[in-house]
Amino acid sequence: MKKLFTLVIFLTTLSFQNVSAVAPPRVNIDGMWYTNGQTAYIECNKASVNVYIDLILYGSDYLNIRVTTTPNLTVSNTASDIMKTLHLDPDSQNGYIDVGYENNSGDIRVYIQQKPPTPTITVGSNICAGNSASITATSNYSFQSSQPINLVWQTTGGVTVNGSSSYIQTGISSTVTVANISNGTYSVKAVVSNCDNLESTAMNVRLGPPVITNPNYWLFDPGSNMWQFSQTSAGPGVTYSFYVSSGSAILNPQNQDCYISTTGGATVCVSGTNSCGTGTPYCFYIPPAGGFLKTVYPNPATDVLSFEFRGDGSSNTVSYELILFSEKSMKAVKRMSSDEILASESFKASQKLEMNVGYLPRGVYYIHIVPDSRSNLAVQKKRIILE
Amino acid sequence: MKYTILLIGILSLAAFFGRTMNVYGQSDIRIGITGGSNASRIKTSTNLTDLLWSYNVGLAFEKGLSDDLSLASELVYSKQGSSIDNVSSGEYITHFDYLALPVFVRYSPGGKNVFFQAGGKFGYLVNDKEIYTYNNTESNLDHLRQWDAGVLGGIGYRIGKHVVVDARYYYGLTPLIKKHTVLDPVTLKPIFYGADRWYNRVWSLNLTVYL
Repeated sequence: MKKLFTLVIFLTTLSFQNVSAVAPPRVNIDGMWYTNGQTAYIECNKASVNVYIDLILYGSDYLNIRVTTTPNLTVSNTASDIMKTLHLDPDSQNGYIDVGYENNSGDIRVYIQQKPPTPTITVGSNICAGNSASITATSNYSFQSSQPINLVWQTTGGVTVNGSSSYIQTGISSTVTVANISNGTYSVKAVVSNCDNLESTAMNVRLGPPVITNPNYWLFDPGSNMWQFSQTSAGPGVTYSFYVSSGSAILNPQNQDCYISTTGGATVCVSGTNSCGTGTPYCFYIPPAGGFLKTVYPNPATDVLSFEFRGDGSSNTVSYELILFSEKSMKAVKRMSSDEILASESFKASQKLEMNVGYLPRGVYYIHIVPDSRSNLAVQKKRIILE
Repeated sequence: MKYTILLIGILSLAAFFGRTMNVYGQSDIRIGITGGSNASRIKTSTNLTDLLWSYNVGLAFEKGLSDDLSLASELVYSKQGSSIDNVSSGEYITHFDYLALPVFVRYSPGGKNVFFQAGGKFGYLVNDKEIYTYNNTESNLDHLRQWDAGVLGGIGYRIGKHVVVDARYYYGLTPLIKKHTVLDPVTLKPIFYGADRWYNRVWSLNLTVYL
């Protein structure tokens, strides 16, 4: 009896041993050793490579390899317990593999890349309109002898490379003259012609005054209607200035970002200045605490509902959706996006939306103004009677 | 050596069953059906895996030895294995399906409904698989041992005359992978003789209905 009881306790204890994660220190992919987080560049004409780990001994035990991959790669077994065959992406797209020991949870991840590496350029400084400079691009590419690459330059706007909108040079290094005539961009990428023109990610450079990129703004503190604005900084040497172009707001700029507090709504603009001058301002409208819908009338209504919205109608703003719900069915009977509202004839003519509701069954309806969820702005609701 | 002892033990139990059958006829061996859930994992050289949930189902036999002691056995299809839940690109699961023969002694202190049980289990491997859930890749495992043996213990409760509920833990003593030669990945020549030692660990919760 006592022995049985002891056995049960003993077995219970055994079943709650800790799970420990053991990961291989390194993995060999196609003949080269890699550690966690590194990228393995594989020649683009290869369809599969071998992946193996060191033989790690625990007394007379050793640990088998386990490989999981991104869905575009697959793995098959080999005769050796510590090696798998990795079948690469048919379109030579990038992926990664996680390598661990079979029935152990630890992993190391190595990125698999058959595309050539993105070229780097020597000169980072801006070229202002009317000027030109000599620029060298280099690709850190290992298979030039067997699968040679071309470096392909391309431009947009008023920029030329060696006097043209594109230029191609064979080899892992290329020096060109980039001329900025009236601002724009140039890019350089590596292309392997032997492998269906497999391309690297392009290195893009903008010339001239800064352009506001990836602007984003959201309600930061609903109590004081304080918003936060952010953007992708164009890099060092750029200063940003924020100003209120209409309405009133308190601005608290933080380099390329800004905190904006407004009670009555305001249009705020931001522009960047670098050694080439000041770029085109980006203007956006911040609504007052109530939201975008100012008023809707008449209530009760018969044939036409008139909506008045806040905003200057021209600046960028948070997108929203107007939804009309029937109380009876609790279904949306009408939906309109803010883009559709701004584009409507009645809005262009009189800054308000006139919605025909004469055809709807009589009863109680709810209007919801649903802002883009990233804005953190609350849904605005209004009750309307049709009679 | 310990497997041999276990084997002898189980064979003698089987002989005991057989003898009773011959001497007393059919009267005192109860036959029933049993089934339940398995929460299994695998102990490796370095690790104890996460739980894999599966089931066992089959026939059950029991013979009373005295007021507080009985001998029970089962012939079940038992699905076992392991799961590694937090592999970054999904789950890694192994399945080991056995035709299993557990044999145990049940002891009810004072002849009450509660009983403790302890014994051993034999398994014959009928199916094996390893699965990566993120892309449902399946393959078989190599160098597996066909037989598995270990000890088990647990507690149970008799509900009326025909129904038994019990919880048990199986502690495998046989390494699942046979020792074999590992090949060098580069030269494909033998470089080491051994294996990662894996053992079955299974929690089961079973319901048995005796006729």
